[in-house]
This record gives sequence, C-alpha cells and structure tokens, in this order.
Amino acid sequence: MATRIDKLTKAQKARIPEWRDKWIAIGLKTGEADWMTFEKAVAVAYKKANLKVPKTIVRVQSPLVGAFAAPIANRIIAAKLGKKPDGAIDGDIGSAIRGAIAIDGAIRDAISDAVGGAVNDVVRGVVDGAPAYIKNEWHKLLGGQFWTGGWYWGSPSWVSYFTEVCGLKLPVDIQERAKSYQDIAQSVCWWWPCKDFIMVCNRPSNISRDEEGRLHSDIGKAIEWPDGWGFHVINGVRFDKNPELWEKIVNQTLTTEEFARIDNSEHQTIALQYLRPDRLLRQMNAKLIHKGIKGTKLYQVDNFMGTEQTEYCMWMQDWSTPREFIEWVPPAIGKQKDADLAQANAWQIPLEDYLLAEQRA
Amino acid sequence: MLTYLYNNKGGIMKLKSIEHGEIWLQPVEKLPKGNKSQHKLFIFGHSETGHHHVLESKTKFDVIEDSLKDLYLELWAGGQLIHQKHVDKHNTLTVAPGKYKVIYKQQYNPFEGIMKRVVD
Repeated sequence: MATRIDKLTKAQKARIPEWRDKWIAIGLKTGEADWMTFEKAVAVAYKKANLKVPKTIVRVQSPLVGAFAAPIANRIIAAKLGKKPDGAIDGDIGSAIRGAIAIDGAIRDAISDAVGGAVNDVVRGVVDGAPAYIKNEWHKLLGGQFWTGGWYWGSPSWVSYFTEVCGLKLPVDIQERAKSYQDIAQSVCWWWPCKDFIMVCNRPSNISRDEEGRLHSDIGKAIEWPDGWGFHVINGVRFDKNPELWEKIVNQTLTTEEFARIDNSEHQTIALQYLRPDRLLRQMNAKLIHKGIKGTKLYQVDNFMGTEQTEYCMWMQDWSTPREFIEWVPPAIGKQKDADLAQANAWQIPLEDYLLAEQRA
Repeated sequence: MLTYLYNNKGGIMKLKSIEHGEIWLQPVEKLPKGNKSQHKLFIFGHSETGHHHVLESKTKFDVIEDSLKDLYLELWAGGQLIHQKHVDKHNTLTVAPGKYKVIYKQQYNPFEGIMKRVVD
C-alpha cells in the first residue's frame, strides 16, 4: 500500500465514474437516517477532538427545526448553568476529522450546489428575521449527506477513493478520523455538534430532480422532510416564498393577468415555459409594432385586460440561453414604436448607449 | 456617452457598457461621494431564486454607494461578471478597469402604473 500517490493508474481512473455515482447516490439518499451508525461515528469524532461525548443526541425531522432548535437549546442550557452560550463547536470537530487530501466536480455540483446549497439558502431566508443569537448560530453545522463532495472537510468521496480504490495508506489516527466522518456523511443529513448535546437531522423523505440534476418537481415539493417541511422548485428555480405561484404554473391555471403581475424574472421565465410566450401574446391579442436592431420585439395590446387602455410589452430572448422574457413598457415610451428605445428606457440610459454596448450576456 | 481610458501603453481605449442579465455597467467619468468599501468579490443584490450576479477580481476594487443608494465601481484591474447558476446562466463577461455606474433594469407594471426593478 502506498503512502503517497502521484499518478493514477488506468484501472484506478476507470473506477472514477463508479465512485462518483456511489457518492452521489449517498448524497441523494432519502428515507430514515442510520441513527446507530451516526451515534457510533460521532462518538469517535468527539473523542478525536478531545471532547466529552454528549449523552444527549436530539433527532430532528427537518433542517429548519434544527436551525432554530440548536441555538435556542444552547442558550437555554447556558442560562440554566449560569454561563455564556458555548455555541456549536463545528470548527473543533471539523478540524479534528478533516482528511489529509481532497474528487469532486460532479459530486459537488450534484449535491452541494444543486441540493444542499438550495436548502442552505432557503433556511437562511427563513432564519433571516429571527433573533440575532439564532441568526448567528444556526449555520454552525456539518452537512452530513450534503457534504459528500467538495475538497474541503476531508471530503468522504475523495478520501475513500484514494484509500479504497487506490490503496493509499494513511496514518492510523487520520484513517480513523476519516472513517468517522465518512460514516457520518453516509448516515444522516445536517448535524449540529455542541458541547452539551448533539442535534441531528433525519434524511429527506423525497428529493426530485430533472435530467440536468436540478431540483425539480411539477407534482409536489422537490425536496421534503418527514415533518413536511420542504419547498417547490421547477428546473432549479425555487418557489419557496411563493408556493401558490408554483401551483398555478404547474396546473396551467395562471391567468394572463397573474402572469403580468409576476415580478421575478426567473419565475416569469418558468411561467412562460408552461404558458409559452406565443400563446400568451395571442391571448392578449398583442400586435407586433416594431422589431429592434438588437432583436427585441415591441407589441401593442389594445384594451388590456378589458380596461380599454392600450399597453405595450417587449419580447426578448436571453443573450446566453434560449430563454424568453416578456417585459412591460410605459405607454409614453411604447407609443414611440421603437423596441430599442423601450429597452434603453428600461435601463434608464440614452438610446445611443444601449445600442453601443458590445458585451451582453 | 462614451468614456475613455488611458491604457498602460499610453494609448486610449474606449470603455464599453456591459449588459449582464438585469445588471448594466455604464462607464462614467467621475465617481460621486459616498460610502466606499473595497472588495474582491461583490454580489449585486441577492437573488430570490439563489442565482446571484457577482463581480470578482484578483485585485481589490471600490464599491461606492451615493446618497441616492446608487452603486458605482472603480476597478484598477480587470474583473469578471459571473452568474451563480449551473444551467440557464448568463455567460461570464470581462469587465475592463475603469469607473462604472451599476444600473438595475426596471420594468413597467401596467397594473400599478409604476416602474419596478427587475429581479430574479
């Protein structure tokens, strides 16, 4: 067995796809957590950090519960013991078990970014309005199954590849630390290591993705935990703050008026995919009045929503992708029948400057 | 309005406007007074859907917020405008050194009769 690897053999390289897929599957695992494996492995982690293993391990059924409960419990315990809250000790634990080496790319994209990152963002959004002691402490966690990729924190996918596939021999202590972290990542979701207790979250009950690996579902929540917490996503675009809009889009019950009221351009794009811009413009009896030099089309909509008012909108294609957008234009600008002027007005710049821009994405 | 920049070879180059999703960087000749901070990575407003537009540079650049809460940038080295998304993302664009005003696109709301910032 080697204590250093400078090059991979053909046979080792040939097993990268298998290892990648194995750890992606671990990262995306749903169903009841393996609590027993976690409890054994976490005890090793605490001992390696020269910390007393807490007797209390609290199981929670979604990351949101843990994000609130862990800092609150810390504060209550500190108050009862008459001391300042210790806070979570993820730094100590993390440093103790971080592996010596760092695989990734596919696993990080599939898990940490597409799934774990979305969960992180949504929880952060909810916690944003909470008292400071929650806001400042909720994120002091270790990611469990969502941290299987990435070169940091002694990535279990990397370390196991080099030790199990390539035969890398690590010092016994490092190997034990790596194994404990690997077992934890395979057994649970987020967990909060604290001095007086450990809080640990169950795995999601469901994760749905599209063919590009993005969270996606048009029949329910794209990711959901056993207590029902989760959120809706269509092709990687979240609707956590507006699940009603998600419902109208997927059920195709969104009216033209409701579409026109959508403020968020990504939600609008998704709505357009289901509604289709050509159908929407037809429903509104929109009339093409000008096509700009840069490709924007300006439409006139008479008797908008039965108001007898004339409104104007521009259709445009994204510079980087095939996505289409519809944006409304003030009547005073629309009347001038110049699509590029409508764009310049939206950007609040002179028409000359809009036409002169050379870099667009 | 065109803005010019003396490059380090003694020549003049024209600074160009940049459009990146709902963000526009407009070259300016002067920067206003305001709150100044320095960054190597700056997020242009957090996206509701998690897909932020980010300016990154190896050299620190100034971000100035004037009394009207408008943002301006001064870069001394090139930077990159990045869209933090994996698919359906705006291409990464290079930002030349110079002074810029950050403009956020607005859209008219026909129900309220007002202009509102385009968000994603």
